[in-house]
Amino acid sequence: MRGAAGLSAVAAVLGDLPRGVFAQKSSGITPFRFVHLSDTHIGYEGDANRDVAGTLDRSLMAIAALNPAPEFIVVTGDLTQAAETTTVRKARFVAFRSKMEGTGIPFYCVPGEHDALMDRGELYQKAIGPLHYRFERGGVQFFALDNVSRGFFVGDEQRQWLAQEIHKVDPNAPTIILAHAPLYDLFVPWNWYTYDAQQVLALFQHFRSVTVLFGHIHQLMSRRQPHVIQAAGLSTAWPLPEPVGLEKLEKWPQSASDPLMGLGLRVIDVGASGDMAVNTVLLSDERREEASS
Amino acid sequence: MRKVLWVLGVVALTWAFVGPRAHVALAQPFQHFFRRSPTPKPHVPAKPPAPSVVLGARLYVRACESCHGPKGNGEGFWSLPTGKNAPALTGLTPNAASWMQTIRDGRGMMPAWGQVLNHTELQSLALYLNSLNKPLVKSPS
Ligand code: HEC
Repeated sequence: MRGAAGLSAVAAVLGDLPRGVFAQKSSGITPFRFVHLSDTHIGYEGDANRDVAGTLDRSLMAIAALNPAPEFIVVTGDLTQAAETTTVRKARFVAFRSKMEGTGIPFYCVPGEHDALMDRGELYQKAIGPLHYRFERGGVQFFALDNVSRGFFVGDEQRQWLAQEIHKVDPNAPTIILAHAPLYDLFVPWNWYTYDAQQVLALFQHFRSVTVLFGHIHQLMSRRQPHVIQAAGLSTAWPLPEPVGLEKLEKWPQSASDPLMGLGLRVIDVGASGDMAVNTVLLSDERREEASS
Repeated sequence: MRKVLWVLGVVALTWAFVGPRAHVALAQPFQHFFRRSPTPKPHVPAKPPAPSVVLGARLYVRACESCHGPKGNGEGFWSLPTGKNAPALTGLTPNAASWMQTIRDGRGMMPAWGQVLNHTELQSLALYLNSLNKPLVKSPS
């Protein structure tokens, strides 16, 4: 009887250990490959890229040449260039969509401010799909978030939805968040941030590993925190400067000698343990290979 | 008596060994025995924060400056997706209620800040806009 009292105390103590103290089995992940594409800005006309459709085509050709082939593509916003009229915007969404569908590879998108800020994502929802949603591939959880359609934040309503969805998933499964703007203050004066990012990431506090894939900044930058890694993709339209000071964000004219400079996409291989290997494909490299073969 | 002491001894020892590693519910009431460093006490404000122009100025830098500019004259660091600039917030007709409504609900490409800002924060921003639109004293006429 005395022994039992001692034992039950031990059991109560051990039964409440925080997750992860003891070895845990990794949940069934089937290794797979996917592509991170971003900021295609279809419809843009100007000096920063004189043929945005052409650079997207090149990117899609590079994707088609991948071996093994990717199972799907994620596109983190600014699919189209904003325009004053709905008719023009609609045509740009249609053009983007038909190019993507032409690959025969499934694709998942999130909106960028060019796609959704002017009408709070109304047209985007008709032309592309929901502004935020969740899906699962090969044992990896994906949360596609909208941090642009009402301003650079996720906002109360969407955060409530997120809090509900989070309860439905396994916090030990690798988790990827897709969003257009970074979920940290990268550079606030250029709107390279999400106002309520901390509140959003706090919802994932008990998750074992969270990776945020974002776009918006048109260059490779990343941030590593204990449980969260954030990584930007490349644009297929034009590169942007890194923040240097309190100056207005401007893009520069496309180089005549190196028109594909800074453009590309990223290929992500998810391994059986949920690890991710990221490879960057630069369109300028692809062109050099073309020339030499 | 000895039986009781013995049982207490077993329980106390168990806690002493496992408790600090486990941070457990059962040991919760006694956790302060195991803690190395004191936890700072939460600061409880005496009253809810009042709206202020200082809070407004701070919020403005983080939420508004990119589009409306550091001086509020519409010369921001970021162009709207259409390539245009956000309007100047100087030279507005003083109307705190209507400003707060615009800030909260948004309009066109002006964000709907009510999704992330509370009433006190909206009031503070209105106070800050006021300071950009001086004088707000009633004209003598
Ligand atoms: C993403 C860019 C952007 C940000 C950030 C932004 N605004 Fe605006 N704001 C606009 C635009 C665009 C308009 C014009 C809206 C319209 O009428 O079409 C506007 C209009 C306004 C107006 C109405 C002006 C008038 O002439 O009636 C106020 C007031 C205002 N903004 C305050 C703010 C405040 C305060 C913040 C920060 C909390 C802020 N804005 C952040 C883009 C922005």
